[in-house]
Amino acid sequence: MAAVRGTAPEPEPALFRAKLANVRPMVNMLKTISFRPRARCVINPDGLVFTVEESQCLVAQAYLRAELFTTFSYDVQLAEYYRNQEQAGFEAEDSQDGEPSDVTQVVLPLDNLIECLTLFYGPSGTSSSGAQSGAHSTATLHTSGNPGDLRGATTAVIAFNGPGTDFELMLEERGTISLCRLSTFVPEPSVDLKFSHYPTTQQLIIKSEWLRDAFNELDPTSESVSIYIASSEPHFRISTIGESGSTDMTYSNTERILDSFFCNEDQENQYKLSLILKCKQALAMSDKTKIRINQRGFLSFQFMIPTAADVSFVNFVFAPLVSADESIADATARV
Amino acid sequence: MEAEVPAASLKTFYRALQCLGSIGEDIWIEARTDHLELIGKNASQSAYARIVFPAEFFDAYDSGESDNAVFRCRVQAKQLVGIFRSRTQAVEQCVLSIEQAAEPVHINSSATQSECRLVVRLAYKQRVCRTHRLFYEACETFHSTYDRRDCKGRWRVAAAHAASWVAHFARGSEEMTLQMTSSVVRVRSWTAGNVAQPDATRALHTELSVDPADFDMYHVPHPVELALALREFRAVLRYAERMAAPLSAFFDRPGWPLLLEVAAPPNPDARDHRQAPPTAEFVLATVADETTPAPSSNNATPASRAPTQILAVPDSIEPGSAPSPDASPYAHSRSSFAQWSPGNRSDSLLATPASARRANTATADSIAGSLPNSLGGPASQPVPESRVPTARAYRLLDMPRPYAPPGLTDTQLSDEHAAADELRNAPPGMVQTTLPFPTTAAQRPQGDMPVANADYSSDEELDATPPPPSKRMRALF
Repeated sequence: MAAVRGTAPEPEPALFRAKLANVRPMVNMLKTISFRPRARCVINPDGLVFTVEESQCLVAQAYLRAELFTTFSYDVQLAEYYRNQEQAGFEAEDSQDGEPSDVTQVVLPLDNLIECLTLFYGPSGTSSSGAQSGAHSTATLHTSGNPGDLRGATTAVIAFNGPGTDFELMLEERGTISLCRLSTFVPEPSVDLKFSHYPTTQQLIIKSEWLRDAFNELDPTSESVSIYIASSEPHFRISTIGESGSTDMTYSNTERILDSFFCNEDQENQYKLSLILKCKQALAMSDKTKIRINQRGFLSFQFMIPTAADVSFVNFVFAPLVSADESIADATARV
Repeated sequence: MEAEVPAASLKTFYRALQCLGSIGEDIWIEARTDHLELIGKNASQSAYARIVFPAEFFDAYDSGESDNAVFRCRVQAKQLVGIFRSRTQAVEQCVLSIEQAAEPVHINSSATQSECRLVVRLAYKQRVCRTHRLFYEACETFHSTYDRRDCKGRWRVAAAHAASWVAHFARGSEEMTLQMTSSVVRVRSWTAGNVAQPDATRALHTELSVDPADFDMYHVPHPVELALALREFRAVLRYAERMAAPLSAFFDRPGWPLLLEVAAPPNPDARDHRQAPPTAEFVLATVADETTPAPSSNNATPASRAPTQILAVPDSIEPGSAPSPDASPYAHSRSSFAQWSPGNRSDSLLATPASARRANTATADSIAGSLPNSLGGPASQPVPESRVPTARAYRLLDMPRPYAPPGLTDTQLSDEHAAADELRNAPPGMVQTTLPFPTTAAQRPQGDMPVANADYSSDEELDATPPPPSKRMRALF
């Protein structure tokens, strides 16, 4: 990108700057959690984490490790400096309590971010061949001297300069360059469902295609889906009760289906179906899913998604539905 | 009742369910000792379908009843079809059974009501199992009273050939006619047209001529023309095509229903080793000709009973499935294109537009005259005196009028203003029913409220949808 740097204004020493050879893995990961307009982006030396939260019952996180990026530079001292400035301004509110000081948190408009990244995608949603945009572009034309450019793939440079500044994206495809600035927002106190605070009582890893079939069979007229894991047959059962009757899928503990199975206690929990269905996109892209349920009944789906010759993870945590008979006190007493 | 469908025949079973699902909303199941029947009918009771699976079709079949006792139930077609739609390749075993309040199903540590369910259990490889428990309703079933031996004309044709007849019909076609003579078969599509377009010449009609030599068997003693609904005929053709079975038709005269049968011959190949494929019979109502007397409730002659009431129920009282003769849409409407005199081929594709339009004014009357003329229906052309007045409009006034126009609730009926006779006797669609809550129009201040509060624009803003993403993008640059 040396040719580009010669004409574009030299950026200031940036807090965070990363370059992506191909935006497609990042776009795929972001699309799995794109059911909310805004996402919190946490930048730390190991990579980026995008988090979305819905009605305080569902938290979804997409992890983009630093190894996914061609270059990844994150200035830790600068982050701490900005952080201290912020804390001083807020009189040490507990909003960032417990967070290590070397991370930077910022809230980005997620759907705008995805639109910008997919700017060069053609009408079919896939990366355009580049010829069309190259011929009709109005942005600065540069011959791309970068040998790493894949044919028809968009490269991107993302940069962030600290709280209060815009999140910058520079996209380049076949010589067409586009510069996007997204306004950022101050992060609100995050919802943490504290999944790891309680011991995991049940865990299994299942091939995603079986889970995909199960999700397709779930009765959409039903309010809740019930997940039952036991140490005896049937080991794993997903069921819904809808207007036309009930549907359930049962899986046994065979190696072909369940890669690993661990069950400390037999438990059946209910979750809101509309929330569970939000992870359909992540499920569609993943190879394997790890399902964990902790002592409180919180459910965690961890999807393993292949990205660029490696794997990335997207994590969904759901809060269980408490039944009408069981009061909240009983549910917490169950812990 | 318990039936185990062999994995290789799941596709067949699914096709049968799909055919019934495309005809009507419900599927009736009748389990007898030696066979299982699936029955369907459409909403206007002008089409009836019955697919019979002999006991040998299943790996295991037990009707669960003693001899002469029959288990009958009704399930929603959509649910049953949806179960078999997906991923039937990996299924190892499929069992349908009836759960009759045996033991309650425990979900969430609380017993659900032990209801009667139709249980479909699909066992996949590697011990993955999918169970659906569908609600069903025990009810009476019904059967067609028509016998193909009464029919004078019949033919049989390969399904693929028959499917090609209607494949090219335009999407809007609703009806079709089959004109069968000893030398040619003409298949033609018709669009009923709507009120807004009384000029039926604008619609696309397709006519096809088929050589009787293409049929496997063709026996038509005298020329006959049948007009029937395209939708159900298409469903039958689709089923026959998917089953790769020949389609047989039995018919007599216009007004009498068309009987169709799809029965695959026993296949000695190993695919369906049971060699007991299902047989399907369909009864489609046809439009009565002008020359045959229109059946009405007054004439209780057998000839009039048969064409309109294609469904006869074994029991004496059956409010649902036995329609009053007036309600069938095909019983009364005249076939306006039934004038097949060669000199008056107004609907022929060879006719000039002018002559077609002249003849079609009368057609448009009967097709588009669905609103009674007195209510300001389309300004219909004066009907030539020689023709019978438009039958559809005429008969609509005679239809049994519901006690209250649709849309009035019981509470409204009891209100004084709703008891007005004009409301009771108004035909459907004429009445503006009053809503049970005051509308915004009624809530608008009648002039006494200060102007400052009358800020209506905020309501619209709340309702406004956010601008599409492309508009948002422009603001970035």
